[in-house]
Amino acid sequence: MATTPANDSAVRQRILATEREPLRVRAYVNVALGVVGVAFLFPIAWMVVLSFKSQAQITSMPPDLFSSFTLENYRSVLNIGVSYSSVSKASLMEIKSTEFLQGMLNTTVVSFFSVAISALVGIPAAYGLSRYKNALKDQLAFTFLSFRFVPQLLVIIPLYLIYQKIGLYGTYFGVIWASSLVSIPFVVWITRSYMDDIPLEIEEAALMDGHTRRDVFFRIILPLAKPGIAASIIISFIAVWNNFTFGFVLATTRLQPVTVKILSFYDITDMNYGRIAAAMMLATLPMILVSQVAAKYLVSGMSMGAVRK
Amino acid sequence: MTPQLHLDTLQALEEGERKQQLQIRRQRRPYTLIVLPGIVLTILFLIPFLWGIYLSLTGYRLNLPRQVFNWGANYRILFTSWYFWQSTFITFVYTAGAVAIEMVLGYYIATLLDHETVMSRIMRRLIVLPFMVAPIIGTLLLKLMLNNRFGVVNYLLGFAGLRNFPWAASSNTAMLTVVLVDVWIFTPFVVLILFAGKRGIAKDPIAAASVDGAGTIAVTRKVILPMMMPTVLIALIFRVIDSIIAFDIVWGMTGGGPGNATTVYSITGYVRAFLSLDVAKGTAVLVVAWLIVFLVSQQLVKQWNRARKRLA
Amino acid sequence: MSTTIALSHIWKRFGSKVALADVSFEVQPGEFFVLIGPSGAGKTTTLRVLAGLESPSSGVVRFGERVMNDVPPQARNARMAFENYSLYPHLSVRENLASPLRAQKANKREVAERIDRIATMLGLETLLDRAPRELSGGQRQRVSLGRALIVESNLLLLDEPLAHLDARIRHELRAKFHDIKSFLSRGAVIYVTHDYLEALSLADRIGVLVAGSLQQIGTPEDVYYRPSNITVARLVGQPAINLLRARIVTENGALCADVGPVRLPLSGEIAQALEAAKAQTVILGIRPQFWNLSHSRPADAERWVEAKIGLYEIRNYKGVIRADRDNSSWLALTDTYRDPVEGSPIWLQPQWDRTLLFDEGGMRISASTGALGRTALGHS
Repeated sequence: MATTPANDSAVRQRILATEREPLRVRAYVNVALGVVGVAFLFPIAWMVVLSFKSQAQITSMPPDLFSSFTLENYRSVLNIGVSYSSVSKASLMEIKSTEFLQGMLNTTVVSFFSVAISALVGIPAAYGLSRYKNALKDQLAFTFLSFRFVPQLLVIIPLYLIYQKIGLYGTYFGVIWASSLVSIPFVVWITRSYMDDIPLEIEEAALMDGHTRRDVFFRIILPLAKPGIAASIIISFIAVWNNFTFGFVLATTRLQPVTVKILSFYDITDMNYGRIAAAMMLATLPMILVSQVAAKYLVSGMSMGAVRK
Repeated sequence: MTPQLHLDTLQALEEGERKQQLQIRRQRRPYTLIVLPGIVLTILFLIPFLWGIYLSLTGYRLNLPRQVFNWGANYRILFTSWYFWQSTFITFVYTAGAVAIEMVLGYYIATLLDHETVMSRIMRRLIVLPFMVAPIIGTLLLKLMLNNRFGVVNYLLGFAGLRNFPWAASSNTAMLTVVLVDVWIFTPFVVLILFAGKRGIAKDPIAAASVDGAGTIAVTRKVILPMMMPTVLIALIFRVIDSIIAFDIVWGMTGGGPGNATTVYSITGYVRAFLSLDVAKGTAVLVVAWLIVFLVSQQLVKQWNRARKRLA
Repeated sequence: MSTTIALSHIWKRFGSKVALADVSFEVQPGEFFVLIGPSGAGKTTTLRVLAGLESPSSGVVRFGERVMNDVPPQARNARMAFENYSLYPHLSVRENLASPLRAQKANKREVAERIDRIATMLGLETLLDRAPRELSGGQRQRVSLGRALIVESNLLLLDEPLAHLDARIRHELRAKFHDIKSFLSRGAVIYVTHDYLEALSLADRIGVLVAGSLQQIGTPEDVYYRPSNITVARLVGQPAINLLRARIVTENGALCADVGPVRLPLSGEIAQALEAAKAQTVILGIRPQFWNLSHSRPADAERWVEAKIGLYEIRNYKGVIRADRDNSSWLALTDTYRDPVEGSPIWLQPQWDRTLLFDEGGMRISASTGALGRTALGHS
C-alpha cells in the first residue's frame, strides 16, 4: 500500500502507524461501536424480550425481565392452543389473533405477487431500456424512477376513488396491483444499471454464433444480470412487505397487511405488551432473516443500483 | 452473378425477399416490444397520478363528489392559509433535522465500521436491523418504549432525573420525538451506503496525504469526502426525498399532533382528504410536496452527475 | 458453402461522419482476404456490415445471389472472432466453444466430437473447464477463434485477432493461421489487421482501406510492388517508402531526374515510362531496401546522391541508415555486419528497376515496372 519509499524515520513511523492499527484505535472503535450497537439494537432486543414475557411480568415495577420466559404470547398471536376464559376481553384477543394470521397471509400474498408482476414486466423492460436508448425510453426510465419519489398518498387517494368506481376496492388484485407501484421502480432501475454493465459485444458474439434474440436474453443477459436481479427482487420484496400506506387506505379489514393490523392492535387503554411485541417479532423476523441471508445484495438494492460492487 | 434468371423466377425471388423483409422489419423492433408491458403499466400508474393532479384543480369532496373545475382556486387558498405554511415549516424542520443527524451520524458510524476489529465485524452485520423493521412497526415499538408512564426509556431516564420527559405527548418535544424515530430507523441506511462507498474509494491518495503530513481532519475534508461525494449525494437524495414525503412514522407516533405540531405534508394531505373530506385540497398539498421533491431531486441528481464526472 | 461474398457500393454514415465510402469488393469461397489499413480506417465497420451488426447507409451486401441487407446477424451463417475476444464470462471454455453448436441444437455426440477436434487443433485440451477470466490473452484468442471455427459457415470474419498479443505469441499464432487455412477450404475468410506483415504473409488477396475508401485490391505482390498510390505504398512496408519529388529535365539529350541536390540521369524502362507519361514532375518511390549504397566515392559519382550518415540504428534485426543531405533525409536498409559511422559520407543510388513512379496527385504511373516486370491495374 505504501507508495513512497521513506528515508526519514519519522515519516516511516507514520506510515507504519497507519498500516497496523494500534490497540488505542481498536479499543476506541470497539467502545464507540458498542455504544452505537446498544443505542440502535436496544429497541429490537427489547422487543424480543418483551415477546417472551407475560403482562404481569412486564407491568410490575421494576419490570421482571429475567426470571422466566413464556411462549404464551406467541401461542395467542398465532392462535395455537389458546386457552381462554369466557371473559369478553379474551374473545377480543382471539379475534385479533386470527386477524394477525390473516394479516401475515395478506402481507405474504401481496408481497409475493407484487414482486412477481414487477419482475415479469420490469426485467424485460429494463433490458429494452438498457439496450435501445433514445429520448422516449429515457423519459420512460425516469418515469419509473419517479414512482419511488412520489408521495404515496398522491397516488393512493385517486386510486382509492377509482377502485371504488371500478369495483377493485377490497380485492386482492387491487392491493397487489397498487403495491407494484412500490416494487417496479426498484426492479427496473437496478436491473437496468446492471445490464448497462454487460458489454454489447457479448450479445453480438452470441448473435454471430447463431442464437436468436430470445436465446441471447435467456442465456446471456439473465445469467450475467443475476446479481442485479437478485438485489432488486430482495429490496423490492422488503419494501412491499414493510409498506403501510397502501394497505392503510386501499384494504378492507379482511385484506389488511400485517403493518396495518399491528397498528390496530395498538390500543393505549387495553394492550397486552407481550402479545404486541410477539406480533411485531413475527412480522419483522422474515425481513431480518432476509437481510442476513442476502446481505451482500442490500446496498446495491437500497441505492437503486447507484452503488454496486 | 448468374445473368440467366428467367423473369418469373426473378419475380418469385423478389416476392420472397419482400416477404422476408416484412418479417425482419417486425423483428427489427425487439426492444420496443419488450418494453411494451412496462409502458402499459406506466400508463396505468400515471392515470391515478394525473387524475390526482386534476382533482386538486377541482372542488372534489368525499361528501360532494362532483368534479367542478375551479382552476387554481385550491392552490390560491392553500398558499394563503396558515395550515399550509405551518405544514411547510414543519416538513422543512423534520427534513433538515432528520437528514442532518442521519448524514453526520451515518458517516461517523461508517468510518468506525471501516476498521478491522471485533465490534466492527459484528456491527457490519447488525447495524442494518432497525432498517429491516417496517417503519410503522418500529414507530409503534418506540412509542411503547417512550411512553412517559410505563415506557422503559423514561424508566431509565428516571435515573438521570428526566422521569417525565413527555416525548410525543407535548408539542414542544413531539418533533424531536419523530425525528428521533426517523434517525433510529434510517441511519443504518445511510451507514450502509456510505460504508460501501468508503470501501470503494482508492486508498493511495489517503496514504499519500498522510505521508505528506496531513492530519486526520484535513485528510477527511480534502481527500476522502471529495472522493465519496457521489455516494454521499446518493444517500442525501434518498433521505431528503423520503423525509419530505414521510407519512408512516409521523402517523404512527403522533398522527400529526399534538395539535398541529407534526403535520408534515403527507399528514396534512391525508387529514384534509379523509378527515376533512376535502379531497381536492388534500391532493393539492400532496402535489406541492411532489413538486418540491421533483425540483430538489433534479438539483441533487445534477450535483451527483457532476461529482461523478469530476472523479472519472 | 460455396457462396461468393460481395459488397457493392457500401456507404456507412454515423451522423455526419462517413465511415465507409463506396466500398465494393468480392471474396470467393475458400479465399483468404485480408483487409488492411490504419486504425480508424473503417475495417471493423466493414466487418460489422458484413456480419449484419450494422446496416449500410446505402449499398448492397450479397451472399451469393441473396441480398442480405435486412437479414439479421443470427440468420446469416457468418461467424466472427472479435478483436476483444468477447468470450462469455459466465461459461467455461467448453461451453464457449459449444455455443454455435447449441444455437443449432446439435446433439451431444456431435458437440463433444467437434469440441475435441477444435481443442486439439488449437491446443486448448487442458483448458476446457476453465473460465475465461483465468486465461491469458493468447489462450482467450484461441478460444475466440475456436468458437468461430467450430461450425462451418459461408463467411468467417476475423477482427484483428493478433492485435493484443505480445510478439512471441503473435508469431506462433500467425504460423497457426497457415495451418488453419487449409481447414477453411469451404467458406470465405475476411481477416482484418493493421499489420502489413501479417497481411502479406497470410493473404490470397489484400484490400487496402484508408479513411473509409478502398485504395487498392490485389494480391500481396500487387500491393507491395505495384501500389496504386502513395498512400498504399507508404502503408505497406517498413520502414516507410522514401518519397522524393523530382523534376524531369533533359540534360545532354538524356532524361534526368532533378531531385534538388542532384540530377540523376535516367535510362532504360524508367526513362521510357516517363517519356510515355510526358510527366514534368514526378514523385519517386524508393523503398529503403531498394537503394544501392556505397561507403566510398563510386566511380560514376554523378549517378549517385552524396549524403551524410545522420543516424544508424538497428530495427527489427535490420540496419537502418538515415542519410541526410541539406534539408532532406532518406532511409536505407543495410546489412548489420558492419557498423557504419555516423557522420561519415554515404552514396545512394536508386535501383531504378525497383523504383516506383507517382504523379503529382499521388497516383502511380502505371507504366512503371515492378520486380516482376508486369503492370498492375488496380481493382475492377
